[in-house]
Amino acid sequence: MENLIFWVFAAVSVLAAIGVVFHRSIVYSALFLLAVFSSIPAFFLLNNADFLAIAQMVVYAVGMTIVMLFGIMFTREKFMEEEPGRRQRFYAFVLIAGFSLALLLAAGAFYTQYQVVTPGSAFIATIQQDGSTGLLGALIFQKYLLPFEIASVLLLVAMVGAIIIAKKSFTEESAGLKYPVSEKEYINETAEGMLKEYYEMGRPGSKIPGVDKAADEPEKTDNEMAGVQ
Amino acid sequence: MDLSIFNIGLTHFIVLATILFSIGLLGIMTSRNVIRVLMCLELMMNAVNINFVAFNNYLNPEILSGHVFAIFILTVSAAEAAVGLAIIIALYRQKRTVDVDEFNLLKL
Repeated sequence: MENLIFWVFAAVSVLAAIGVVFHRSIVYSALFLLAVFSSIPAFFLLNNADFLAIAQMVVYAVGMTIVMLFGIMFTREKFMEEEPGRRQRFYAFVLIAGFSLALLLAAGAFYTQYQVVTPGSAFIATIQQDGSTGLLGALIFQKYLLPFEIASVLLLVAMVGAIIIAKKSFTEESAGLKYPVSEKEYINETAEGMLKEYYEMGRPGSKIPGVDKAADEPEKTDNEMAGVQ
Repeated sequence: MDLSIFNIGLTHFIVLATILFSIGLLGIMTSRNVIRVLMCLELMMNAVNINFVAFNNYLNPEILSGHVFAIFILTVSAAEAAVGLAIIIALYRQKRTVDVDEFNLLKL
């Protein structure tokens, strides 16, 4: 049973990873990434890491994929469906290099002898009854307390930094502390200024269809003007 | 017929992690879209996580240090993805593209 689970999820994750790299559309890549992230918790579960499996599912499969999709939507352009044939030689070279690296590392891993340790029966009973969460919590809050706190500070700093970097620009103007330009330019050149002028002074700066009556009515010809007079 | 290769052990997890890692590295080197590069980075980190957990379970099962390290990697990669995407969005505002070859501000 364990073997079956491993082989099925291994096949899924490797195929989906290949899809992430080679699919033409970046959106499909993100969905393949979701498949990889959803199949990796299976390997964690096979290694008795129940807490980590759930954490992986929440952080990666839900959070990371959504963030990636947001990034794609912010920066999507048509040309990014990568055109093939532009860098064929480089592509082939990297493919061979990556494949041989994988082969080398896999062979190294395959021929190394490991001293596998079987856990004691008390430990197995604990894991089977309570799972690994309690043990993990004790470890984090006793032995690894300082790294844990540093990691939380890192998350805070990353959050603030990401907001600051992704903001349009942080100046006195964007914070609304002063006019970005002189008042005349502000009224004439920024959309905000035009709207303000339009609504406050009741004098349209431009003809907006549906809002401005003059723009909806057709221009009167000279004859009509003369007839009226 | 010998079916011993189908019975999973530590080696299986390591080889799987190696394959995932290499695929991620391949993606980082070949793809032109920055967001795809970021995705492949996440793939590599996941491969490392598998390694940590598998080694912990097979070589030192009673102390869960490998799990703690995997959690730290999870944290760092979440922070990295947030900052990375913010940088990508800021770059996109400047250059109107996400092509890696176009980002050459630091080139002499």
